[in-house]
Amino acid sequence: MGDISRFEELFLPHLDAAYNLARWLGSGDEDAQDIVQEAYTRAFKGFAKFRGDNPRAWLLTIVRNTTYTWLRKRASQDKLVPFDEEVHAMPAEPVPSEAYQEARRGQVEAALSRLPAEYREVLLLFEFENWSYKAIAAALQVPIGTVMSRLSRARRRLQQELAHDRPEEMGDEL
Amino acid sequence: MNCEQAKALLDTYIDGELGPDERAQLEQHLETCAECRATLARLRRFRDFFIANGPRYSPPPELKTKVLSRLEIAKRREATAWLRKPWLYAGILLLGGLLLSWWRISADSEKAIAQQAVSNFVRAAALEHLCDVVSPDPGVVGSWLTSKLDFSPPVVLPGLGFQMRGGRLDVVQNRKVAGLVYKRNKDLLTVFVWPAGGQPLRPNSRFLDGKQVSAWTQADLNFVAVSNMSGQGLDEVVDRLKNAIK
Ligand SMILES: [Zn+2]
Repeated sequence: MGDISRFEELFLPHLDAAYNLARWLGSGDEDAQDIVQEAYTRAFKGFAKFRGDNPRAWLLTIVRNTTYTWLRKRASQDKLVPFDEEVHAMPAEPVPSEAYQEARRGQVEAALSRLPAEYREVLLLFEFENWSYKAIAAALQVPIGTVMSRLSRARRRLQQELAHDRPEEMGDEL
Repeated sequence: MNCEQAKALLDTYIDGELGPDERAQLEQHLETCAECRATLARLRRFRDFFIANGPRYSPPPELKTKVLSRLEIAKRREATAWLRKPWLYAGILLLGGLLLSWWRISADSEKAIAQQAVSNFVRAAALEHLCDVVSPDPGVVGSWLTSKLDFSPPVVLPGLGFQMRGGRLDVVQNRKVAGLVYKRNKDLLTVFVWPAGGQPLRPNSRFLDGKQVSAWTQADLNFVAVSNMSGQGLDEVVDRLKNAIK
């Protein structure tokens, strides 16, 4: 039996992060709200097993798993581009950032939405949640080397998507 | 370290996740390679751009309320989780059925046993064959019965004016039982005794065919006392017997 007030104290402060992650992984607002509710319920049921000192990371891992289950269940498979490390690997040639300095958030968002969820999640967890490679590897249950290469490829791919959006602004370096 | 090796490490370098040795080697290369320095600068700019422009989704304010109410439901479910176990209901039904059938069987068999005891009592009196062994001495009666049976019936005197007349072998529920015969003037008392063997008798008293019958179990033995005495006297006799057997 979990202590609900203790649970709320630990996990409610991370509601925004939970919702944000669900959105990043490809769910719309309505789905994300349902996912967050489901994830909190799951977290509460598993609260007795929570031994860690990082409730936010623990919760986000549950949100992540819930999101994938949810999206799969809702047959929104089209949002989950079938993932293959090699297929999705893009040429490592970076694109100059000058070309995108004017890019709006909307363009970044649109570009992100064309990335596989596996790329979006490492970007979010590393760049915005400030997780270490090690923490991401643990949550995703992949080797640290995979996190490293996935993050690099995610960045290249994102740069490409943004370049594709605004070809007229591509710099000479391309 | 050449440029290809260096470029493969640039992301990790920016991320601050490079080990100290590789980091030192990469920095050494960067000092001598303008191209890699430029690439590094571009990567950093892109990263800054991305962090500055990456989407941040904020939940609508009502999400917190929704989550809280879901948690309330989960909490209530948890508190009553044991009520929703199907095996619990199956168990209760099964137990209830067993109890009911046990009660019926025992009620039926109690009556049947009392009936048999009364029949034995009446038949013995009608045949004027009350005893296989005649003796006023409980010790003699007890030894004789023990020698004829697979158990030792406790032979005691109830007092209240009853005298030992003797003992006989009889049959209750298809098994050989001891019959202890007592008399007080015209009042005849016979106590049938046999091992309970896992089927004890609930204490019960009744009138059957004008006879008083009282049954109980004590010291793993079943007792059924039958008497033709008038009034409610048998209960007192049974109490005396119970005390004497202890
Ligand atoms: Zn170089």
